[in-house]
Amino acid sequence: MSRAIGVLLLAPVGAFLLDAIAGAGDLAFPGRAWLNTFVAAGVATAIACGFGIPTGALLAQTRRRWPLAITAVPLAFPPAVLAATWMGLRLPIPGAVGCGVVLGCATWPAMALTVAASISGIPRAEIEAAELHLSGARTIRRVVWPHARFGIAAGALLVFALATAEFTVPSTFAVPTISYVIYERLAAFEFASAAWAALPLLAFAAAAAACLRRVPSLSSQTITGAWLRGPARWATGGVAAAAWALTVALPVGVLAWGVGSGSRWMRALSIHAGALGWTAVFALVTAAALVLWSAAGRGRSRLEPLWLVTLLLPGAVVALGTLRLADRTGLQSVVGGTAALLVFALACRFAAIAWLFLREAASSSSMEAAELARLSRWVTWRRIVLPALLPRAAAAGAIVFALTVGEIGPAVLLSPPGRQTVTQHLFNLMHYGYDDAVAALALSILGGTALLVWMATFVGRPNLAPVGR
Amino acid sequence: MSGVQISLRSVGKAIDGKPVLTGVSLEIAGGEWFALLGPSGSGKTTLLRIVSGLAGPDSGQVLFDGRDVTRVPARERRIGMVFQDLALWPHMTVEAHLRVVAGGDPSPFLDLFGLAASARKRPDELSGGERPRLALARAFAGRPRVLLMDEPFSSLDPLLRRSLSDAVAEVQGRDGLTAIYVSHHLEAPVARASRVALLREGRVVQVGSLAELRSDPRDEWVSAFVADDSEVRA
Repeated sequence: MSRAIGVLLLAPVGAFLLDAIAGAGDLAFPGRAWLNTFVAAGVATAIACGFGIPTGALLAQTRRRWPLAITAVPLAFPPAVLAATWMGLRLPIPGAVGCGVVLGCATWPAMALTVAASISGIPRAEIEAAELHLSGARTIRRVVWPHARFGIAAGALLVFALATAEFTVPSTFAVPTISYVIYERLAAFEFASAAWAALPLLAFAAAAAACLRRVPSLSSQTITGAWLRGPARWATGGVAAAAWALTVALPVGVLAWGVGSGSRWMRALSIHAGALGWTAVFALVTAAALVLWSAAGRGRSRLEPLWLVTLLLPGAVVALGTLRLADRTGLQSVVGGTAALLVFALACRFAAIAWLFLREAASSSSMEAAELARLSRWVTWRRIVLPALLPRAAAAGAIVFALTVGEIGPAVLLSPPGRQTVTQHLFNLMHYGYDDAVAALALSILGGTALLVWMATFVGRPNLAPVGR
Repeated sequence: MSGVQISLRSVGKAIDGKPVLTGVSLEIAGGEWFALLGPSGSGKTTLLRIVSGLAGPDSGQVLFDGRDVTRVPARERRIGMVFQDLALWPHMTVEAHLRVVAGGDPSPFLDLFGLAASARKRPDELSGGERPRLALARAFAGRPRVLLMDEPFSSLDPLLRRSLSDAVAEVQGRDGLTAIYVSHHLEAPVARASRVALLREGRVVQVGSLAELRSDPRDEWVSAFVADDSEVRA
């Protein structure tokens, strides 16, 4: 059952591929859009390297959870919030480079997390053995670098894929990138043409997913030995502090300044209360569905790389696939006026996150010990599986909820008539300029997302690693 | 309670196409303390998992008291096992570990393995010597007929290793359990065994008491493997 649902979650990408084949004759190559895309994604990747590599190295050496939480926050909130911050700073309307700066500020944590994961996989003894024989620089070059390079490559590809796929920032600033072009073609009902234009993004997503598979899971690792010392540690700490200040503290400050007062914030929220409520309901349904599905699965799945690809594709592409799937199967006439297609598209998009959080929550040796102890299936589930599963389920649910709230592409294309998400409201308002309502909505989304990520970091990484000797 | 006579008949197993065990046949008497000795990768752990029922053989049979249990699930074999990584349940206290397995009062097992003072601690709060004791206590709490130990004391110092093996041997002798102890080197719990089977590349090279293996080794490899007995003599 779990596997069948897993296959179903890939159906939109299949439908998208069929449309791409149908649109293969479209020769209107969007060269200008690709140039803008490469500039923006390249700048974003450079910023991610600058902020993410030192921060990742720092994260790999600390047991404290708050640095991880504060690093992960920008990755979860919608890039539109950072675009609103840019507007709040009264900076000139940016071109492709400016879009790249905003996207880099939104996606750099992906680099930090992959670097931290790859470095923290180094056995402590390996570092200590190097310390006995090598200088600090040689330890980094000969011992740390061979592990870190996969994390850096995966992080760079991941950031590039995410920046290429993002469309709200270029759309807000009217910079035609490929994702913006795809969105425009979709809005004009040129489905096959949009799918054909989006096909290269599938290659980026597949490359990033393949690279990510070589990076160890951060949650299963312990901290590495202290190979960063003295000035090097201070320097990395300084870069991390600057990154946190620029991408978390600055948006909070600018947006809070833009709101002005609590009463104005409350008034803006009350105007959008309907959208807030609707967003919370469908995000909750999506998160709950994915958590239940992932919790029912056991072990690893060969479909994991494909779910990762779906995660890294633009949301609009997954929405397009969902829409075309519903058209072809006749489901459009049945569920077209409901939120079912939106929930399904978002579930397809974020399936990898829920699955990777909940996969193998209880270790196989724990389960074998329960079997030999002749615990019944019910007692095994209640006493062994559930305690291991619950914190991860809460964390996965919180992250999926936050990402679902921030997703704009599928919401624009698949929301039922008369319904809009709160992030859609923000996106629409930003086209009229920056005011206290924009600041209030952006600040609320930022605050809610930060709270959820914070919770997921502290609840979802309990000390439940299998205890050995 | 009496131990189970275990018979392995031509047991074979391959993992990822590579043979791990080839034609392994062994007879272990009820209530015997038996040791499986061999270098890393010789198939000791795989053989133990086949006896426990956690893995099935590709060929051959496993018999308990003459009854074919090759396809009997692990939970129906009444096995107590101490895993190589101990496999403690990280969210449970010591007391909860024993209560959930014993299905009642855990205090006899707490006292037996000197864990009463740590009853409310979780595994990550236990010392390096307490964790294997908890793993042993859990194995006994299930009132097994067979006790399997997969190098459970290898990270402990020799004195602690000897005292723990004394404690286990006492309960094993009292209850007449059949015990199989796996190790990759000659250590006190191996020397305690009435017989030792030497495994190399998935095959049984020689079976006999430690004295027999030393006095009449089949080849130079066996002679070299059982020669280093510094810990046993200590």
